[in-house]
Amino acid sequence: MTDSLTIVVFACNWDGLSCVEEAAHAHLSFPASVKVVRVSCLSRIHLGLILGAFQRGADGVMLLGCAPDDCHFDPGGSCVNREFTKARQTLDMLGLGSERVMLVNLVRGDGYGFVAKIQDFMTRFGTAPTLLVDAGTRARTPRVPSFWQLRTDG
Amino acid sequence: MDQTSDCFSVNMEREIAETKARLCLDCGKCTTACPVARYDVEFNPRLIVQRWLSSNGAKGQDPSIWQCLGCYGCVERCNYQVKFPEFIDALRYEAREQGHNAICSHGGSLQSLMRIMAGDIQQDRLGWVPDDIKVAEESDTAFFAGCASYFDVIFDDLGVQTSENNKGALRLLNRAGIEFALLPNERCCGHDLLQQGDRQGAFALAKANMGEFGTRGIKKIITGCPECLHMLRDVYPKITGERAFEIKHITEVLAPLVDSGDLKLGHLSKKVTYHDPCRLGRLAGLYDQARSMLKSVRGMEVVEMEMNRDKSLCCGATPWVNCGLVNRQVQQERLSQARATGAEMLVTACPKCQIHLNCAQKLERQSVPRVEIEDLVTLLVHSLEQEDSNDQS
Ligand code: SF4
Ligand code: SF4
Repeated sequence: MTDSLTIVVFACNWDGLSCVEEAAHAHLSFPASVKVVRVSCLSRIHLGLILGAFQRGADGVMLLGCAPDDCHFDPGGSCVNREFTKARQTLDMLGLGSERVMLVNLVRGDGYGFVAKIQDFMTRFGTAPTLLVDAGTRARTPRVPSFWQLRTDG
Repeated sequence: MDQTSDCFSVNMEREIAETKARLCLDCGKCTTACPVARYDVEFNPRLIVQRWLSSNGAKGQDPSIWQCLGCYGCVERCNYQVKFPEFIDALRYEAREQGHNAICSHGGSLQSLMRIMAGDIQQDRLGWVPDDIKVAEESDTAFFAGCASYFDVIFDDLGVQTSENNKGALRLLNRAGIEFALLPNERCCGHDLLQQGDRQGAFALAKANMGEFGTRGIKKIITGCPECLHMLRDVYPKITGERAFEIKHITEVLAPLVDSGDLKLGHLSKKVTYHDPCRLGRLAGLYDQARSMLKSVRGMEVVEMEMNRDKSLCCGATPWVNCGLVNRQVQQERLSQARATGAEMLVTACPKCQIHLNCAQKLERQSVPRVEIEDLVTLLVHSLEQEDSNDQS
């Protein structure tokens, strides 16, 4: 069931992406519904991008980056921490739940760690209704009318 | 259903006829009053109409349509009551339908928020309500809180907490003995989606809200935000075809009680100036309520800015799109006017004015005047607290 969950992973260009690549090199498998979006640094991520993913039908958003002290641009991760907190608070208020967004810091090339985190993340939604899949028909029914999904302006 | 399909079809000829925009071709009077035209030579209501009419096919390309603040300053000056801001809304709708879009401020977070809210969700949005406030389990009167609790999160960096305004409003309603319920699954009123040309989005939000009012048996609504007032009172009946009930802004509810002496205000020695939010002033005609309440606070001196009441200058707000230099210049001008009065504080009754006028002061330039911005009801509640603490000491 969890295979049909759409997870958007915002992975930083450095240690974050290297974990995804290592998972591929090591032939580890993770669901195809996990969409990886490369960003130059997690400090590029803001509430608008996270909510934008949910608006377009994501069930969960993972922010995957370097360990805070190892970040190339934002040592300490103050930017991403701030936006992560905002996203958690907003998702709670929207009733979607703060567990739908996860911040993950891994060391370079930890493919196993990445796959384990994805599995762990997906089981969080084991009982939560998914945003995209209508339980009755198993058909993909967007929760918001399709004309919004075509828009790219956010 | 007819009404729906009607409001979603782009029929510019009809929009022009309804807004009377063709009259602008021979006029141009409002250009002198338009705050955007003062700082942007490309922006000119008459020329926008002219460009559109002569653009033959290459429609929706005029980037200046996204600059209008929707402040209704032009409507106030217009001899023919041309509804120019509504013509702009139509142009934006047409542009969006053709794939042109505004640039979303704040990374599009507010747009996504509004669109998620239009879906089938069950929110948990009343966490800001403190225990000391008495909320009725069931009542035919609802307080429409607006998006303040979301703004608190998004604009945390600005140090603006607009939920405080709502707390203040509810405390005063409690004091006045007015019973109200809160709506746990209230949606955004849709004002900003409508103003940026997303009619479908605004319609979905309006429908969701009307459904919520219906199931809870709401007959009267008090709003804290002037934009919600405008949407619920003036726009919802038009776009949903359902007759809205009694809708009032909090200042409309409280001011008569203060005037009659049923609601006593406290003491606060301060010199303040009042900024008329466009939706409360020019659109709803509510100029005196806020002023009379401020004057009822003992010790308070109220002074007027150079541009006030129907001539008031907009806070430079937008429906969270295309915020840029022009908006900053308008805000700077408004802050300068406030400074010039010698007031210690600019008081407004709109959470968005509060956010925008604070945001402008984030710029670390010397040229940006520093003025403390405060919400009207919050200030009124402070006057009472001040009095209570004086009584105790
Ligand atoms: S809106 Fe009114 S005042 Fe402005 S150009 Fe058009 S007709 Fe003239
Ligand atoms: S609504 Fe305001 S910003 Fe827009 S044209 Fe009129 S005066 Fe100018």
